[in-house]
Formats: sequence, C-alpha cells, structure tokens
Amino acid sequence: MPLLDFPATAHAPAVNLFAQRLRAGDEQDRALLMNLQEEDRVSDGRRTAFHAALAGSRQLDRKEQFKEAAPVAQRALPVPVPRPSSVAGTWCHHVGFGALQRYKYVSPALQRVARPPPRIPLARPIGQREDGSSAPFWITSATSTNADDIRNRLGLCLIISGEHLCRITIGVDRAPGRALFIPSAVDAGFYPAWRHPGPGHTDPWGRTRHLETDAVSERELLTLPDAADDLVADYIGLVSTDPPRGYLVARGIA
Amino acid sequence: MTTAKALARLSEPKLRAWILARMREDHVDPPIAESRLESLDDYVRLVYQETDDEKFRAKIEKAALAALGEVAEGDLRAGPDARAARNLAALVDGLDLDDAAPVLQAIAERGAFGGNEGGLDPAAEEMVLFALAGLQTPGKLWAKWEALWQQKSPRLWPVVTAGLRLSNAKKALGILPEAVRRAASHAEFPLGEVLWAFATEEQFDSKDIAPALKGLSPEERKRCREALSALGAEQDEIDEWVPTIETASPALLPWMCKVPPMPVPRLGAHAWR
Repeated sequence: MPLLDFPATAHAPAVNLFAQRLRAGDEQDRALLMNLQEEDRVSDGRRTAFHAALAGSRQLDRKEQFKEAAPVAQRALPVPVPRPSSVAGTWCHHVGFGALQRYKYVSPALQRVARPPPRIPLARPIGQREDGSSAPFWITSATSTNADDIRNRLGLCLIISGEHLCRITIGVDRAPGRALFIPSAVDAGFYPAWRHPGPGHTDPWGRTRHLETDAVSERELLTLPDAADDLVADYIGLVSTDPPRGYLVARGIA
Repeated sequence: MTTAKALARLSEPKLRAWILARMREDHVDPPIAESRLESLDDYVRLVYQETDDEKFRAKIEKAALAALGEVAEGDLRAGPDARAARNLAALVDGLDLDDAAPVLQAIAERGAFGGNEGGLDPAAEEMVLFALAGLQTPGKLWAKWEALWQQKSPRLWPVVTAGLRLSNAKKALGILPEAVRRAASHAEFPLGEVLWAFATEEQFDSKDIAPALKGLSPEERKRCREALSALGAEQDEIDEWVPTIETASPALLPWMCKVPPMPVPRLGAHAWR
C-alpha cells in the first residue's frame, strides 16, 4: 500500500492536508508527493507511524512537517542479513569536490587548484560528521571516467557545470556486518531526482533516475560510515554541463 | 514557496532576507540533503547558474553581498550570525564574487587574521579565510597572510598556504621548505596537498617548484615525494617537482651537495627581498 494514500483512520485529515500542501507547492514538493504515492514497500506499521507523526506535527510548513515525521519511516528497507551475494563487489559514493571542501573532508590547502589530485586524502570516513556522529549516505556500483555521464546516470541533480566530481570506494565487502538499506521515498525526502525502482522490483537495492531520460538507471543503496571505508577520494573529472531537466519534464513537474 | 521563479520575483531586500534566513539556518526551504553532502549554498548557486536572466543574477549577487555585510556586524563567536558567516562565505566563494573580498577581510580581521585569536567561531573563521584566499586581490593581503603563517596556530596553516599561494604564487614558493619542516613536526599538516597545489599552480611553470625545494635534505625530499605519490602524482611529475639528488639537474647539484643543517627560514619581510 502506498505511503501517502488516504487512510481510513483518525490521521486521514492531516495526511490529506499534507498531500494538498505538497500538490500546491514547488518542484520539490510535487516530486515528493509523487514519490510518496509510488512508495509501496514500507511496512504497515511504519506507514501508520508515519501518518501518526504527520498528524502529530504542529508545523504549518509542509517541509518542516515532513522533516519532523520522516525519522519514523527512514531506513525502513534493510538489505537482508546475511547479505545476498549479488550485493558483493565495489560500491562507491560520488560527490563534488566543492562539497568535500565545504564539509571539511579535504584540506583547504587545495583551494582553487588548477586540478584536484588524482587521489584526494579525506580527513575522516565519508558520512562521519565533524563531531563524530554518523549520517547516512548514498552508494552505487556504477562507475565511469566521464563526470557528466556518471552525474546524469546517478541522478545527481545538484552537481552543476564547473564542479569537479569525485568517487569514494566504500568497503562493503570489507565490512560484512555493516548495515545497508534500500533507499525509500522517505530517505530521499525532497530530493527531486529520487526514483522508485519500478513495480515488481525485488532486488536488494534501489535504482537511480537518469536525469536526461527519466529511465531507471543504476543500482543504489544507503549506508552509514565505517572504519573499512577508504580515506581517499578518486578524482573523476570536471562536469562540463548543467544537470539535465528531462526527468522533471517527463514527470510533468517542470 | 521557494522556486527559482518565485525568487526572481522578490525585491532585492526580500531576496537578501531569504538568503539570510537560509544561511542562518532559521528557515531552510528548500531543505538540504545532508546524505548527499548538499550545502546551504548549493541551491542558490544552482538557481544562479541555471537562469539566463542577467538582472536576476545581478540581484542574487547584490543580495548575497548585502547579507554578508549585515552578518559582518553581528556576533560571530557563536550562534546564527556565525553560522551565516560560514555559509555566506561558502556562497560568495562558489559564486566567485570578487566584490566580497573586502567584507570577508573585515570579518577575518575580527579573528586571527587581525591578530585577535579566538575572536571568531572557528568553523566560520576557516571558511571565511578559505573564501578570502580565493577572492582576494593578488598581492594586496600578502603581509597579512605572511603574519598568520608566522603564528603558532597549526589549525590555520593549511588555509594560509592557499592564501599566500593565491596572493602571490611565485613569492609563496618561499614558504615550501618551512612547510616541509612543519609537516615533519605536525602529522596533520597536509604536505602532499600543499605541494600539489603549488606544483599545479597555473601562474608559473611546474618546473619552478624544484628550485624552491633545492635546500631540502634527502630525507625531507623523500617525504615530499612520498606525500605526492600518495596523492596519485605520476612518477615523472614527482621527478620534475621534487628531484632526488641523483636525478636532479646539474644546475641544482651544487645546492644539493650542501645537505643540512639548513637554517630555519625566517618568513619576515626581509626574507623576500
């Protein structure tokens, strides 16, 4: 059953109002509405808790309301343990060099370098905040030596032209006990390029949305930082085009 | 509701207020995805880059500068204005707004850059110096960066190397021997990154770095080569930038025969004359 339907419960008015607010909102709002309406993989218990949290929120702003309710339904789709053999192999996190600098993963000595080094040392494992706490991050098994190509295939809609794109290898095989999650619409939040992997999809991973074509693209998972992760980012290259908006047009959002 | 179109319709003061609220983290709409390392300035940069409307771009620039100017008057030791200073510094750096340099300098002067250690929230201070390094008028702040390099504050040394390099790249080559020594005594000092940044600097030929390192001992030279190798520098690049004594050009050999003890360079003004 979809995460955002019209429940025959006491929460129905609040859920309906939330949906109305999203429908009348901006691109991110409408993308979230569509994603929540497509998301049918979350358990009934989590779904009910999500509705209750929406109803219990005192926020008038729909984004704040979602932010308050989301934690009860986040990371709801764990990859089974023991981990399926199909998940084995190399998984990577892709990120802009500028973001690594702003989040202080890399040294400020590299400010305005003509080209980042091929291997960029990281101050701490990716996903670990400066205060040592953990934040989930997205990984994929797809790789490319072309920055524009991989940006588009991974649905990285915030990576703009002129950004240097980097890749960090994540120790999935090296840490057999680490938790992996199939990303749901709640995990994606207001990120407009998230994609439901499609009806009938049963593989233990999600799928990215191709920014140009809107098609189902690459495998993706969510995970948390681990000591097994590389403390280095590999430089892929310079992104030379702005993110395509074909996916927004295809969905009728833009 | 926040869309690019809605932002374009805002007056400049209202756009400034929207930017300020976002950068103070009071009202973040659209929200950011931390799991994708999205920053508060990313959406503004995206809107700026995607619009074809030059007037809207100019309005964003003016609003960002005005917001930074307003924050510069606030309490920057902690709290919302300190957060805003950090986030706005990242924004003006990302938008490449040279006109922000004087405001960034004024903020920086309230901290170690102006001799007031502890005067700024450390995270804000580092981002302000980072942005100032990138946006400064070449040469103008050389003495300030140099004074900060002399201070015993390892926390700021990496960004100061960028400040010196981007102020006057050729002159800044003179700090490299001291940087190598600091790396030996401070494990967290990013020697490889500093050497890479200088060696790939577009303002001069990559061959220029080798003479700057000519006074290094064989052991220091080895550390530099290892640090560059760890960053993925090619062997021929390493040989060109930090030649071993065996591979050094004849012009460098007389220097290299004078293995240490080398005097610790003093980076006072006289050192550059």
